[in-house]
Amino acid sequence: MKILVNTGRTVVQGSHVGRKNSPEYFRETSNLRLNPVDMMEIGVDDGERIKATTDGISVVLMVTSDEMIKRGTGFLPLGPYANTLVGGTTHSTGMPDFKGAEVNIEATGEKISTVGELMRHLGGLPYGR
Amino acid sequence: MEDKIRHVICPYCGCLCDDILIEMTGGEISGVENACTLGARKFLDDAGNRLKGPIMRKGDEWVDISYEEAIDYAVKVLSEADRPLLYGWSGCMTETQAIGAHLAELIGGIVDSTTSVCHGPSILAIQEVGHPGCTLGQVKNRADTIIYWGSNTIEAHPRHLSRYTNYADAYFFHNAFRERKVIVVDVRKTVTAEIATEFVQIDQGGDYHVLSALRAIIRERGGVIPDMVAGVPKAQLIRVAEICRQAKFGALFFGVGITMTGGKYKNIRNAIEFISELNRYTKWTISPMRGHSNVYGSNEVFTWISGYPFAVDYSRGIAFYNPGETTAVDILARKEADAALIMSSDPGAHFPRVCSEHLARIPTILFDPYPSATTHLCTLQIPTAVNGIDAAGTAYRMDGIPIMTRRFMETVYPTDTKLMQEIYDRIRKVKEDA
Ligand code: SF4
Repeated sequence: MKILVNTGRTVVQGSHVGRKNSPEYFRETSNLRLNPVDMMEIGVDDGERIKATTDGISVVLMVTSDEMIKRGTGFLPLGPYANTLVGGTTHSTGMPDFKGAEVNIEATGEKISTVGELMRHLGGLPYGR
Repeated sequence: MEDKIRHVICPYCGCLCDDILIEMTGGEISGVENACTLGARKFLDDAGNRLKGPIMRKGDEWVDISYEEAIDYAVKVLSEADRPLLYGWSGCMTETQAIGAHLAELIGGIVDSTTSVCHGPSILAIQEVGHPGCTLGQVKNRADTIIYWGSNTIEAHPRHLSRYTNYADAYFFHNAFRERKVIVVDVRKTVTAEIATEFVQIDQGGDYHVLSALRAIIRERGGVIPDMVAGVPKAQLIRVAEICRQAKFGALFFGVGITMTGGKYKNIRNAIEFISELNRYTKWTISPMRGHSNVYGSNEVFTWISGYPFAVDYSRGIAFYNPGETTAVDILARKEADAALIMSSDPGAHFPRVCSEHLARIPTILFDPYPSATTHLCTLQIPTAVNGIDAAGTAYRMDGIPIMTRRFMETVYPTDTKLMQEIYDRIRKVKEDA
C-alpha cells in the first residue's frame, strides 16, 4: 500500500534527543502511526512491524493505530528512521522533502534496526559505552 | 547539600524560558521547576550521560584520546581540507558561532547552520517580501487572535502558549484566556489542534492553496474560490478570514510544517503576503517558530560577519551565498565536502540518508557533550561543557531578543568557545607559517 508519510516532533522524541541511543528514543522514532482501516488492509495489528520502502531503500518500523491519522497517510516522529526515507533533493532551496514522502508499506517479520545499526548501514561504526 | 538556583535559562528550544528554577544536590541537578517536559529532561538527563573525553574511530574500534590529540587532529584535517563544511551551530552560543564564521573564512570553507533544514525557506521568503514581525512581549500583551500554522506548538515549544499566547495574562485584557481566539492550521489533528477555537485541517501540501484562498477572500474576490480548497470547505475559509479581519491585533506563528512541504519558501511568501493583506484592515504580525535554542543567533552572527544569514561559502575568498547550492544538505548530497566539523547538532538523526552516508565517508569532527546518532558516523567526537548548564554565553530567542544564558555548575569540560578559539588560532598560525 502506498501512503504519504508526515514527520514531526513529539514530546517523547523531544524529551530523549539527549539520549538518542536509549530504548525510549528507539521505540518512539521507529513507531509509524497509521489509520486503523489502512492497518486492517495490510493485515497488521498494534505493535507489529511493517517494511517501508521508497526509491529502493527500506526501513523496518513498528506500527500503532491512530484514528486522527487520515487514510492513506502516516505519521513518523522525526529522527533517523524517518530520514532513511528522505532523498537528498532540495529543489534548489537547501530544504529536502522531509514531509510527505511517498512510501510503500507491507507487513514484515523482520527486526527493527537500532539507531547504531542504522548508522552502520550508512557506513558508520556503532559506538556503545 | 541542597541548593536552589533561580532565573536559569532553558537552553532547549527557541522560547529560551528565563524563569527556570534548578535544585542541586551534591553537585548534580536533582530537581527542575517551571520547565516543560522537554526542558526538564534536558537538565535532568545530563548527569551520567556525557562522554568522559574525546573518542576517535580507528579502523573498527573506538579509542579514547586526549583533548590535545583531538585538537591536533582537528587542526590537521581542517587546514588540509579543500572543501570543508562547518555545520550545526544552533545549540552553541553566539560567541562560538562567530569563531565558526571566521574559521570558515580562514580555511575557505562553507559555514551553514541547522537553519537550512528548519526555517531556511522562511528566510528566503523574508528576503523576497520582508518580515512584519514583533517581539513576543507585544503578542503576549496585545494579541487577541493567534494562528499556529504547521506548528504543533504543545509538543515542540510547550510553554509558548502559557508564556506568550493562549494561557498568558495580558496587560490589555481583563481575561485574556477567554478573550483570545486561537486558530490552528495543520494536516493532522495534533494536540495543539485540540485547544483551538477553530481547527483547519488541510490536505498534505495544501498550504499554498489555502493561503491563496484566504488572500482572495480578504481582497473580496471570494467568488472565484471553489467549494473545497485542499480539503477545507469554503464556508470555513470565509469564517477564518472574518475572524482574522475582526482581530484588533493578530499574530501568525508558523512551524516547519509549512517550510518543509512542497512549495517551501513560496508557502512562507504567500503567508507573509496574506498578513500584508490583513494589514490593510487591522494589525497583524507573522513570525517563524524557531526550533533550537540559538538557531536564530546563528543567522544574526553570520549576517553581521558575512552579510548572509546561513549557507555562506568562502571558497572564492569572499562570502558567497546561494541556498540550494551552498546549503549543507546539497554540499553533502553532491559528495562535495572532503571534511566536516559538526558543532552541537545531529545530522545523523536529521539529514537525508545520502548526506549521512557522505559524512561517514569523510573525516567528520563532532562537538557534542553526549553520544548522538552522528557519533556513530563521525571520526572524532569532542565533548564540551553544556551551554546553559556549565557554560554560558549569548543566545537569541525566536523573536530576535538576545538573552545571556547562565552557567550554574562547576565543570571539568572545556567550553566549545575555548576549543574553537584554540583551533582557529592554531590554524591561523599554520597558514601564516606557510
Ligand atoms: S518551552 Fe522551550 S525553552 Fe521553555 S522550558 Fe520548554 S523546552 Fe525549555
